[in-house]
Amino acid sequence: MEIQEKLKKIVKVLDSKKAEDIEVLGIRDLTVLTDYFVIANGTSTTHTKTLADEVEYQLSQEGIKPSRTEGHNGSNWIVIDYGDIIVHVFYKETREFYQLERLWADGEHLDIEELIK
Amino acid sequence: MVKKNKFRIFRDILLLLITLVVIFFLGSSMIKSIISAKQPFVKKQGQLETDMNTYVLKPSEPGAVYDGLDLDQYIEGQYTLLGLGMDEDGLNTDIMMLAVFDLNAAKINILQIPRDCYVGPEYTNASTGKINSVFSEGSCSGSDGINKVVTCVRDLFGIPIDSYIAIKCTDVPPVVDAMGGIPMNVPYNIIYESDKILYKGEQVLTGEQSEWFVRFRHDYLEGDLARIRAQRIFLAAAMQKVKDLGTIKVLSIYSTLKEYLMSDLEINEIGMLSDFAQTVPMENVTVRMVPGEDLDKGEINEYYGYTIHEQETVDMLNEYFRPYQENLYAEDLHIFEVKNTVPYYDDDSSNFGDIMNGDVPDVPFRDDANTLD
Repeated sequence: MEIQEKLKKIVKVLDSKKAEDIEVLGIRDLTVLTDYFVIANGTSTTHTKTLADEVEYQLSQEGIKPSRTEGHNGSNWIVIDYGDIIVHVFYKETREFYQLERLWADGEHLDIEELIK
Repeated sequence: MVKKNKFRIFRDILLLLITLVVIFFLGSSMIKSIISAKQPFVKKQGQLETDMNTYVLKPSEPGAVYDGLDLDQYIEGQYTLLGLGMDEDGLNTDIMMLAVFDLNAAKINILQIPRDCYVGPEYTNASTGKINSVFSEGSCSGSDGINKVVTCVRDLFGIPIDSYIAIKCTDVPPVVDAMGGIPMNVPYNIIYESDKILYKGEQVLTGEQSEWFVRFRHDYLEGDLARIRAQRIFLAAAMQKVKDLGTIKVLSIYSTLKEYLMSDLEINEIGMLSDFAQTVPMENVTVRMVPGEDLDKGEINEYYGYTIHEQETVDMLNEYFRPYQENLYAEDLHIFEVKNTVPYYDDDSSNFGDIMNGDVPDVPFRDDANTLD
C-alpha cells in the first residue's frame, strides 16, 4: 500500500471511531525518524485504547503490521510505528501535556478533510 | 546665542551617548538571549577525533563479545558515553560523568567525575588546575573543547570514549518539560531560593524544579560531593522515565531537543542506546564516584579542590568500568595524586534499583542551612 493510501486509511479509521483533533504532520525533511506523524486523542483512557486497537486491527486486515508498538499497557500515550508513519494516540490531557505538535511546529500540516474524503 | 548653541551641542552629545549606551545594553543582551535561546553551543563543537590509542583487550572466544548492535564503537560489547553538564556560559563542565554500557551483560556503570578534580597544567591553563576548566582552557591535545575533555578523561581513566552529550544547566528545564517531567521521590526539603522550594516526597519534577535539584549545593555540608550524590537520584529517575516512555516516544521528543544538546550522537544511535536501556534492569545500573579526597587551599594552589586517589581509582576501573579491556596499572594513567590521607571518600556504590526504592545515603546539611522552620 502506498504511503498516502496508508495515511488515508489510518486517518479514516481514527475518524470513524470519533478520535479528536486528528493531525497529520509531514516531518520527512526534519528527521530520519519517520515521514509522517499522525496525532490524535481519545476522550478517555478506554477510548484511547480503542482508537489504537482499531488502527492496528484495520491495518492488519490489509496485511500491514507495525514494526513496534509502545504504551499499550495502561498508558495514556500509545505509539504504533509503521516505519514511514508513526501513529501517536493520546489521552486528551496527556496530549496537552506533551504538546507533540508544538515540538514539531516546523512540520508540514496535511489537510485532514482532504485525506478522509 | 553662543551659550544656547553650546548647550545644544552638549545636549546632543549627551543624547547620543545615552542612545549608544542603550543600544549597547539592549544589543548585547539581545545577542546574548538569541545565542542562549537558539544556539546553545551546538555549532561550535563537532565530531570526536579518531582515537589512536590501542586498547589491550581481554582474550575471548571469537565473536563472543559481538553485541548485535550496529554502533560505531571502539570496543565491541562496550560503549562509552561522556555526559557533561555545563555552566550557563557553556564554559565549565560542572557535571561530568562517564557511562560505560556493557552491551552483552545488560549493565551500565556510571563514573561520576567531581568537577574539582585536580589535573594540573598538563591538561588545563586555568589557575585552578581543575578538570572542569579543560573544556574552555584545555592545554592538552584536541582540536576543540570537547576533544580536549575527551583526551583528558581518556588519559585519566583509560577508557575510549565513543560519543558525548552535553547540556547547559540553563537548558535543563525545556528538555525535562518536553519529556513530560521526571517523577521522583525527593529525599529532603530543598530551599533553592526563598521562593524556590522543593518539598520532600513523591512528585513529578518540572524542568525548573529539576534544575533546582541538580544544582542545589549551598546547604550541603559536603558541597559539590553531596550534590553528586543528589544527582544520582535524579539520574535514576530520569533513566526510569526513559524506560517508561520507550524508544519511539523518546525519539519523537529527542528530535526537537537537539537544539539544546551538544552531541555527536545521531538519532539512530540514540535509538539503539534507548533500546538497550529498555533491556537493562535498574539494579544493573550502578554509579560510583572517582575515589579521592578534598584539597584545602594551599595544598597545590590557592584553590579548594579534589585530588584523585590513583591506586583506588585503578582498582575501581579494572573491576567495574573496563569489562572487555585488560587490567591496567597506575603507571598507565596520568593521574596526579596530590595527597592520600584518608581511605576512599565515597566507598558505597549505589544501584538505580536501590535508589528508586528510596535506599539512599543520608546527605548531611550544614548547621546554618536554611530550614522551613
